[in-house]
Amino acid sequence: MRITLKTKIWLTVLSVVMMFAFFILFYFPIQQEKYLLKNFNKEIQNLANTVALGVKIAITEQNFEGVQTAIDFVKGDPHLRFISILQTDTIWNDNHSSYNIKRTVFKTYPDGINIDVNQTSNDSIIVKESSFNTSLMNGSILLGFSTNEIVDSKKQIRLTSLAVSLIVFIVGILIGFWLARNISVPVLALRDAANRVGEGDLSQRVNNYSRDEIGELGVAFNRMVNDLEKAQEEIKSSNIALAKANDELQLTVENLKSTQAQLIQSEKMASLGQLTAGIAHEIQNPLNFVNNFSELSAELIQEYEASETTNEDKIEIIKDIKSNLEKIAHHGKRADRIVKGMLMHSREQKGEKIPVKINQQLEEDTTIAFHGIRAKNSSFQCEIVKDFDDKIDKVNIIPQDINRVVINLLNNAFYAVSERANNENEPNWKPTVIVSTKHLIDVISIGIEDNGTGISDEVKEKIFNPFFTTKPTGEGTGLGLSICYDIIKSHGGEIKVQSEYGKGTKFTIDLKI
Amino acid sequence: MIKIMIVDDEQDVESLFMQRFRKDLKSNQFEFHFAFSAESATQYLSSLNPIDIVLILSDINMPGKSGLDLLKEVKSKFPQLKVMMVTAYGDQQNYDKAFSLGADDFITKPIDFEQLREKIVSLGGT
Repeated sequence: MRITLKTKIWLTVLSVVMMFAFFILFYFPIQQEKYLLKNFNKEIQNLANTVALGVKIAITEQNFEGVQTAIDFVKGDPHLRFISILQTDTIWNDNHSSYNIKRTVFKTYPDGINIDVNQTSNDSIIVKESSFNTSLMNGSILLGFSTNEIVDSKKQIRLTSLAVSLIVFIVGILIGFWLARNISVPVLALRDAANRVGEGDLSQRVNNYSRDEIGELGVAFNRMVNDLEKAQEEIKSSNIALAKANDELQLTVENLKSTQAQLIQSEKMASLGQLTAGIAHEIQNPLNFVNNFSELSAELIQEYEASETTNEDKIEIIKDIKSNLEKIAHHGKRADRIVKGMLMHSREQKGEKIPVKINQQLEEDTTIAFHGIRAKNSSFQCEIVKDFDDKIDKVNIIPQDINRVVINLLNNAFYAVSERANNENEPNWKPTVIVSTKHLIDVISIGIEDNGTGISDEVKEKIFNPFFTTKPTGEGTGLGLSICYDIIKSHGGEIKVQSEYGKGTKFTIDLKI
Repeated sequence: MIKIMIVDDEQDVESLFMQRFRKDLKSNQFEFHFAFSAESATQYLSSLNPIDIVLILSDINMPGKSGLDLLKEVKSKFPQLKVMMVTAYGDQQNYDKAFSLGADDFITKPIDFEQLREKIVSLGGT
């Protein structure tokens, strides 16, 4: 059961008031009455003793007026019921073996009242006896006093108690109201304010000017709400700042995304540019043959038509022309392949998987990559070992994508061996790049291995991360291997790297078949 | 007779030169030796005793040792030999490099054989 603070206060006040009223109404009057009765008894006993002493003296002196004077001593008391002088006689039996005490009334005031000599006190009368002995007579004084005075006093006490109780009760109620006002009301106000603060209304304050603990509680509460309000405002403003920062970040992310897209494009264009340099020169070689062999063939035909040419010569000439035409066709096709390879690289749109002779493709990629790097650095030299598995025929790939990856890896390999050649003077070391294919059970594995500078373990972890590059600023975008990784992933393949720092690196591309 | 060594990784060069210079070959004005890599060229040179060739025509861009390496080597070992670079890479960088290494002439592909013949005659004659 929930007992409110108010109830508790009232219960406390009421129980204190009740206890106090009980004390005043019951315990206090009873005690008072007992005390009164005791004093009254004592007083009457004293009166009896005094009268007895007076009577004794009067009888001893045989002054009977003195007896009257002694009795007069109490006669004036309004509460006196009676006063008797009793005579006590000892009456022996005949053989003097036992005796009886006989008490008789000698004199009584007021006259004519029958007195029981053995009378005792009751509610309405208090009877006291005091004995006296003289040579003339033995006796006692018996005093009877009405209890009217005590009953009056009792009534008085009860009235007073009732009045005091009433006052106590009223004061108690007032204290109760005061306590309720000073404790319960501000506490309830605090509770309601706290509830509203809890609901989010931070404008709540309590008005409490008392200087007790509740007042302090109110002040502390107000301070707390102030602090809360301040804190909330700070949170609000920092939220606004955060939201702004978030917007800025969002914008930055979008900018980054478009920058990344641009970078990927420029990486493509950069590698295309490098390839174009290689291809443009490379195409000169077959063109050289096409031009020269066709010119030669034209000359040979003129020679054939000349009148002095013998039949024997004519047969030789025809043979030469035939061989030249074969060469023209061969080199024409070669130029065609080179141009097609370049076109594949420049194409933007998503390619489709087509069956491609992987070994032949790698052969061409190697030539293109090698000439690409030669175009940049004419003194570059490197032994290229091709170790192709003859069991491999056509594989379904997007050729321009795989070309990109292979040429990128080859460029890296050539870069690694040229770096090692620049940095170290090793007489027994020959720059070598090995391009290999291997037909495994359900996988075609392409390996591109170099004996260049190698990669440290630290770098190896980040090698496929976008924008990670070990090349000097401006030389690499850091996107090459990241793009390779994405391309191979989208082919459903895997690209792995093994490397030992200072010894060389091998990249392996596993394509599922 | 001018004896010339031609260094190129393209095998068809042999057929091309033999046809282009067939009249000169018939008249024994020229004699050719073909080497298909810089390595085999130096091997051939070191096997000659005495050295009877006077002119080397070398490609630059070849797998393995490049024509420029060959040029450097020839000029240090056999300074009397004339070397003419014949290349598809006619850029300034290659051109400057070739002359700094002591090349006697520099022509670009596709080869103009009339011009080449004149150059050979003038180089071989001196």
